[in-house]
Amino acid sequence: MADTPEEILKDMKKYWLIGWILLACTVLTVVVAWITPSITIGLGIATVKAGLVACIFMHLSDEKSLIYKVLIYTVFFAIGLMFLTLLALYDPIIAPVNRPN
Amino acid sequence: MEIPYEVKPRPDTGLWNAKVGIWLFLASEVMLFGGLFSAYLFLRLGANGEADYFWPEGVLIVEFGFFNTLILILSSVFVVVAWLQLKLRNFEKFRFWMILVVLCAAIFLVNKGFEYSAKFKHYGIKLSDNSIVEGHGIDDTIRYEGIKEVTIDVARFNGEFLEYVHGETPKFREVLSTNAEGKPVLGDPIELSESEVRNIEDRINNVLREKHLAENDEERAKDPDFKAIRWLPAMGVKQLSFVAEKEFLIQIKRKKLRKSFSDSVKFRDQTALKGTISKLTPGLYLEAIDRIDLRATDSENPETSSLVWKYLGQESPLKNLSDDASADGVYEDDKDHAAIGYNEVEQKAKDDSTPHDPKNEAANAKKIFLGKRDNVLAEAKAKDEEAEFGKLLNHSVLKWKDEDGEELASHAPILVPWDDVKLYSNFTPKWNTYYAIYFTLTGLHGLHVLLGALVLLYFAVFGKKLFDKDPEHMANRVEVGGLFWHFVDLVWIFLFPILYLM
Repeated sequence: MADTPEEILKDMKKYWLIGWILLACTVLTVVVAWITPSITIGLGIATVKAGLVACIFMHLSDEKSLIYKVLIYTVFFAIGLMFLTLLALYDPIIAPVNRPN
Repeated sequence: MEIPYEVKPRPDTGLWNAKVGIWLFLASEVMLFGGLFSAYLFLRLGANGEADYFWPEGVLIVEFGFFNTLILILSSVFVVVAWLQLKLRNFEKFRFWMILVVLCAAIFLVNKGFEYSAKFKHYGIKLSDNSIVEGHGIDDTIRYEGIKEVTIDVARFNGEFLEYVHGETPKFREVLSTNAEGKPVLGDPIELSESEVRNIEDRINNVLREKHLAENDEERAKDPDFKAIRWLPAMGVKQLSFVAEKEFLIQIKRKKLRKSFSDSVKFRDQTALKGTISKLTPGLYLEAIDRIDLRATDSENPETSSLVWKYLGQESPLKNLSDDASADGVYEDDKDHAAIGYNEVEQKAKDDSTPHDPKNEAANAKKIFLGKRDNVLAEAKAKDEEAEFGKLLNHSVLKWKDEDGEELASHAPILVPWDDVKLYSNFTPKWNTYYAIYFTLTGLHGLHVLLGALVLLYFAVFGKKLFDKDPEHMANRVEVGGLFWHFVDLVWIFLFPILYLM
């Protein structure tokens, strides 16, 4: 992590750059949704933005191993939560029915 | 007490303690929001399995969400800049950037407030054939006339219905019993109130208790081994009936009632009144319709046979009465009516170049709906595909330009008879599961913004003392607060596309 004033000022520039990239990505999300509403692209851009915030603003690109260990378990279980939904979809009570068209 | 490793890293973890703490906390936050995102997925995918429920798409105003996303991203940059200013040992600049962060949070929350308030004022009605209309200016006033008979649940009675009696409250006579011809034997006239009901309850229960105890004694006299049953409150009087000395009427908002039928009405305390719905309030009134959704309508040809077309363009008789110089003075004591807030919408309709004729507005709304439907069909035909069902029968009916360039606008009212109202609500969790998860996710996120901003404001206002004592400790504190702030930003980065754009 930066400690000398020169390095800190260098970091400052980096943070502003990332900020501008994030703002641009937000505009891109809206434009893409306007042209072709796609869940995959929308979530894809959101994931890239979230990655930038986590890695750069939250310093995860350069962190101690203990924090990675904590987060690996969290991410594993959080993603697991999303798949619980799939199990529910196989429940006959809410199995998709055929819609008109 | 000295807390260890506030600045110096702990040898085994290589981290100062607060950093481990905040990451553990953020991990739990990931699980909290993860659970809610999973609920969102569940509701959204589950909606595909419902034949008469379509997941609302594009119902939020993108500009609100877009602006708030930009604001949060900017605030995230400001937080790291503020932190770096502490690293440069410049407290005043730190304070400047931190105040900017708090301002961003305030703008975010005010913006969110506007968005919420728009939802609270926007109403939807689901008709008995599953057609849906949406719009502004609800009037769910319902009036029952010719009421004489009142039945109350003694334990629950709270006297609520008396507040809604229109005009003078009559005296009531208790139904004591029925005579041989089946006619009620009535008590003396009384002013009905909760305390009066308690008095009657005590009087009757005393008699019942005496009778019960006497029966116990009798049984015991016959059989010495008889086990006496002690008096229990459940053995007391449960229902009381009253007859009013003269007929009266009540006027109330339908949502305050438990149930309403054509010949009787039930309050939340189970008080039941027998009377008929007034011709002045035949149904639920919505002042200006902005969207019609016939996707779930139970009909082969909803575009022509839906109940919506039957009731569209009908005015509320009560409204005409109130417009008409308060007619017979019925409204003089009724402030509710002015407070329901549809005058604003009405004004908008009046501002249109054409005079506000409800029938004309209704015809326009139908033309717009069918026109937009034809457009979808034509577009699909041009592409040589079948038109998408979801897009055919769900349209905004506010305005439309036809092929000849003629512009049509509509602010049609609708009056849905009470029997045909399946559900009505403003856009809150009651209306559908989309708003349930929308308010849960954004509400919880909004609370995080508020609390995060308060913590950061505390650093900006009261941080100087610690900064003077140990600037690195102060920088670490701000880093921890900043990590939380970035997390809040990160959650919004996902919320924006899934709620506003998809």
